[in-house]
Amino acid sequence: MPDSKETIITANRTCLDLELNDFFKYRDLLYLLIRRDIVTSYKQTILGPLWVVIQALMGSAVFTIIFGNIAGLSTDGHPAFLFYLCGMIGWQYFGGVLGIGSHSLQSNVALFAKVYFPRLIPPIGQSISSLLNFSIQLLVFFLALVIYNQNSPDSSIELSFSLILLPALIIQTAVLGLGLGFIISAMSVKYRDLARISGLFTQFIMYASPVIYPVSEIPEKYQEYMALNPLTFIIESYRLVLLGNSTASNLTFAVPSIASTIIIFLIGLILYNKTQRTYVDFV
Amino acid sequence: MSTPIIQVNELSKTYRLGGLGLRSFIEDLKSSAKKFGVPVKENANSQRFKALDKVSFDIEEGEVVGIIGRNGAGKSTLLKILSRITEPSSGSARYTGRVASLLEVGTGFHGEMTGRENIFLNGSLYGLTRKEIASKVDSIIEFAQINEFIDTPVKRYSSGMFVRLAFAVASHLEPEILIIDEVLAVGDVDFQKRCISKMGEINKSGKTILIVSHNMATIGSFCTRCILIDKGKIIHDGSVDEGISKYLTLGRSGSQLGYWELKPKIQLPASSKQYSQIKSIEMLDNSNTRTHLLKCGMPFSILLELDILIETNYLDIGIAINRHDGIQMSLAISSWEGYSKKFTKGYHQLSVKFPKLPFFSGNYTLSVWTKESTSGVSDDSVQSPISFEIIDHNFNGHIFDFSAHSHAGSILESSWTRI
Repeated sequence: MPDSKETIITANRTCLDLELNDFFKYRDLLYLLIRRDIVTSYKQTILGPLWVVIQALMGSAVFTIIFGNIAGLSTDGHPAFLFYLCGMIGWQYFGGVLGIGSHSLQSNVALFAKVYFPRLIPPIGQSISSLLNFSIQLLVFFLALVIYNQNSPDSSIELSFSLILLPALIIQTAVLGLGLGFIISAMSVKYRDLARISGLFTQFIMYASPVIYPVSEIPEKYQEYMALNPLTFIIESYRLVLLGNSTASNLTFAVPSIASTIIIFLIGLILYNKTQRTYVDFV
Repeated sequence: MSTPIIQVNELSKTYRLGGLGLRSFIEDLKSSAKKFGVPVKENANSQRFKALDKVSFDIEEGEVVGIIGRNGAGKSTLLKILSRITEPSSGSARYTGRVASLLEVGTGFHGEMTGRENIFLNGSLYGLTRKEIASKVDSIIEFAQINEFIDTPVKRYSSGMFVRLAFAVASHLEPEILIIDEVLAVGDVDFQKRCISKMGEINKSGKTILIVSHNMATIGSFCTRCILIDKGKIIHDGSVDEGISKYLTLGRSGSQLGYWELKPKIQLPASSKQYSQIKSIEMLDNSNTRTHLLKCGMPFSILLELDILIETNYLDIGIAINRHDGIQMSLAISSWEGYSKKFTKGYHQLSVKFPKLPFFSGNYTLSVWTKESTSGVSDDSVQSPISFEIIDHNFNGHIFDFSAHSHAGSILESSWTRI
């Protein structure tokens, strides 16, 4: 079928030209990239997806011992292990997507320098395919929950109706991670200084977010500052959805979180898109 | 006449020279400040390089256009802009239909995935839908001749199989416009032939093709039009033969054909341990006239001028002849002929005679180097300073059909008797 679509190449296009119609045209590429990631992700490993399980269990165990038992941080009345596991699952997905976004221009340069396709496809595809690890960890969580409920029938945790909010929560996690990642990626193409501190930055965000402590642990007068961090609401909401209740998953936290997620994503999208047009000249 | 399928209008691309660091960052800040109306003094000596300088041309549907030029002339930049890999600094281009640009074969192949899976992935990278690829997959496998390996991960493929598969996918993209950058320089001779005939087929179906190549034989046999770019500007647009001959004489005025001299005079630092410096190279035909046209089977000679900077007991001099596609055809080395003599400090002139030129017609270059020791490091070398053309196929009075022997490198002299 002859394609008679006209393409115009010009200098200095407006930064709002996001090439979104192309994105739709290449949807099969998105599908195939996701498939590729999933098919190849555990190649040449003996334990395969078990590593994801081990990672989550070990991480939560370490947190339970250090922060729960030694430091004695509160876990909002939740069983410590499940509390940390829940926070870890949400955080690890966010951190993973942040990493994908912030490396997307740099790690795809070999491809981007040789063929045109919408540059948003690889990072979005990877964010979707890393849901595989997320799902495995989620499964581990549910298993741990079942085991916990069997051992302590008095204080058993029932899954609540709010579980249906999980997909929306995942989307917000991914959108925030990608948006922030895009900003880092775009800003570290020419000058790589930012890439140097991105690891440190990620760690900083983790401690600034209620991953290893609940918001209720923060003195009341500072809690409103916690609301400025969009991740506060996100991580606390994973606890609402998976453990049944949380202190900071309410409108006071939701409105600023969702609004800033959208703003960060749009800024990231525009910067990323503007940068990808000529970045192969610098890399 | 219908509107051209590609219209390029005053396309320019400027690069900043020099590294990226604090200094360029300050310049970036200044130019951003200027955009917001803040008066700042811009650094006058910030170096900029125009890779493309207001290039304009139209291409009609069905044309096969060869884009040629020396390295760094701006050809690849032009292709990158047309392929939407980077944006121009100014100017515009428009085209109708889908573009597939093969700046490399096998882009995006994943070693862990099978040949079949890679066909789908690679095709979709170029904008095909899964449905479109599914309808072509059998024909792609057949073209690549890897039927029995198609469900094996491509990391187990030989490099030949890999290239065949990659080109097979590329040649089945069926875009309205195909852009190719030197990819024909891969694979074995037989496969190259099939690639060329496949491209002919693509063109016969009315597709437009743009090729960048240093291989004048490909350009000459395949293109209907030739664009010659030099220093970012189009200096020829039209006839292929004329374009190729202009390309070959680029940077040389008429009297300098078949001649090269060192310029500007480079003052070597006193500390440098260089023994010799090649000052000039001249190509002479059998009547001792300077030329860049040689006849197959005839004698010719090279005149060398050398400056010996440090007296040496051993100086080896080499002359190499390379074909247009960069393949080294033959070597002449003085020590092989028992000539690696003592050279006193100062000016020397050497004549090197070649009794019979054994190569087929085409475009060649000549390189010269010197070595002071038997070690591998050259003392001075000049890469391809002289381009020359071999014309006429008269070897020992026998005129033969060149096209039938074009894949052979040279003529092996032999004598035949019945015993």
